[in-house]
Amino acid sequence: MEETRQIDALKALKDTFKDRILEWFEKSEKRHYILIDKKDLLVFVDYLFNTMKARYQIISALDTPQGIEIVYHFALDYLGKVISLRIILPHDQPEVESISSIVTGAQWIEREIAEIIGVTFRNHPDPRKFLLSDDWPEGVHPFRRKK
Amino acid sequence: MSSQNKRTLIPIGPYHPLQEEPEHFMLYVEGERVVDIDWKAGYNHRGIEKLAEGMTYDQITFLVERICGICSTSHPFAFTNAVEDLCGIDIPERAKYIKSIIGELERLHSHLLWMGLAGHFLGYDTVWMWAWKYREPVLDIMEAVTGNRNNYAMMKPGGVRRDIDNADIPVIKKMLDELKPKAELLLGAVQDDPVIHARTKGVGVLSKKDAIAYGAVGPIARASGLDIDVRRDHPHAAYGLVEWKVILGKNGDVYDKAAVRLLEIFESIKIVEQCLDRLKTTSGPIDAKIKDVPPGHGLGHYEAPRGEVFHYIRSDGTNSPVRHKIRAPSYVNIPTFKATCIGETVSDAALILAAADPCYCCTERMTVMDVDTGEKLLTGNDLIRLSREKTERIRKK
Repeated sequence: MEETRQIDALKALKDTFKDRILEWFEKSEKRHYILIDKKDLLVFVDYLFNTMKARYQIISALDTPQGIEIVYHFALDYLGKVISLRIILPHDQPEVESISSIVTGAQWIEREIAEIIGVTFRNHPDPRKFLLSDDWPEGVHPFRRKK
Repeated sequence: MSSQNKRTLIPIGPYHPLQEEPEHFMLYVEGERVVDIDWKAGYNHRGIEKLAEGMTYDQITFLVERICGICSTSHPFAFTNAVEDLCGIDIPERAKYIKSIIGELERLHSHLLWMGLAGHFLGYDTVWMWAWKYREPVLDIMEAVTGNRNNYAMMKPGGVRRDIDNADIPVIKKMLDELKPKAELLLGAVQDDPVIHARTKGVGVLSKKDAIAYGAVGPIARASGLDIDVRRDHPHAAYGLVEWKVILGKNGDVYDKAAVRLLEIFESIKIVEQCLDRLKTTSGPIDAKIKDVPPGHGLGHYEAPRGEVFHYIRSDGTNSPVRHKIRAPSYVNIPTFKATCIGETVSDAALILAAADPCYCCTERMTVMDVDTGEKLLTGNDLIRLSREKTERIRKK
């Protein structure tokens, strides 16, 4: 019974977004990494958070040669799994919609990522400085790698 | 504009050498009521995530141990879980029990520490001194087992660094047995005292809906009835091998937050006792040797005393990660103050902030200032005094 429920939740996710999943990587039974396009981010987050009742954990951001990667981590506590949504933003215009309208708790980390790696979160309700000092120079991001 | 003029800003922080986490709260009050709260971070940013990129996986275990002095084993616990996830290895059974023992002993001392401070804020200095007195034997066990009262250096990717001597087990169990009646005494003191009920019940309520929206974790979330615990939901170490239960509250107020923590003390003792019993009959190695670190994702989490600690690493196959993301529980718990403090009185605000367990010493730094003139009206000690006077008034009634 438990097993069928597990398969169903993930299968429902796959079936709902089959065309919009660019890559589904199952690192292990408990860890799933889903690469999506940034334009689909809000519908995925809404589905995970409100329909699948996944718990928002945090957002990671890293600078890779392919672009700036943002990883949204959601825990499915009732299944013992973690689903991470990955999006890759181009270096020249790293911009993405803020998920704070769906997940209130994401406000801080989006402010932090905006500073440390230079991503613009559109429609963020409170896009002030977070960690860095007020006199920190514009356009300098400590987690950006040099070309 | 007229209401703006009446607003008074109470800055809490930014930081103090004794503070566990430097932070700066700004409480906006009108008279006695808190009308808004804001937060500023970064005063003591140590760049640990960046430092980790220049270290090997073994070295990072020691680095993350120094993130927090109180839950110093929770970060290495979550980090080693992440490395084990990255490498796809399972740790030996004996290591699983030892990991859980250290984790639970840490929860014991952390909850007792919190209990003492909460008592101090309420004006119950006897509770404060008792709780801290009973915390000492837990630290003594830690010293006997690991060699350190804090920063135990027990975790390593693939297992643990030191074994527990089976000859020590009866002594440890005896010390835990002695702790049980003391913890019951503290629980009774909270449950039976009408003054504590009056000060904490219905104060600083975090609704279940808000707890989910903010992603709150740990005793804060469980006090609101949110049934989550990484130890049970994502079984690792020995948590799936022993009997214990997740403690839940339902009202989300300060009282439930205290009650959840106190009841968790008994569950932690239960876990440690069972693990110690299993150690007697479990032999074998205490670590799995990791030869190669593959490129890819590693994600580990652990239920620290304050909630879920989260570590994510991205590896390129070398012996250092290219990115190491860490999220401590307070990072998602502190924003809930927006839901819990607004509408409460200043004398309760200190208690509500304390109930989330992030900031004791910073409340010592509270100063009430007049926004227009910059004149100091109240200091941190005055705020503790306010809180204690309120308890005294209720007690007299």
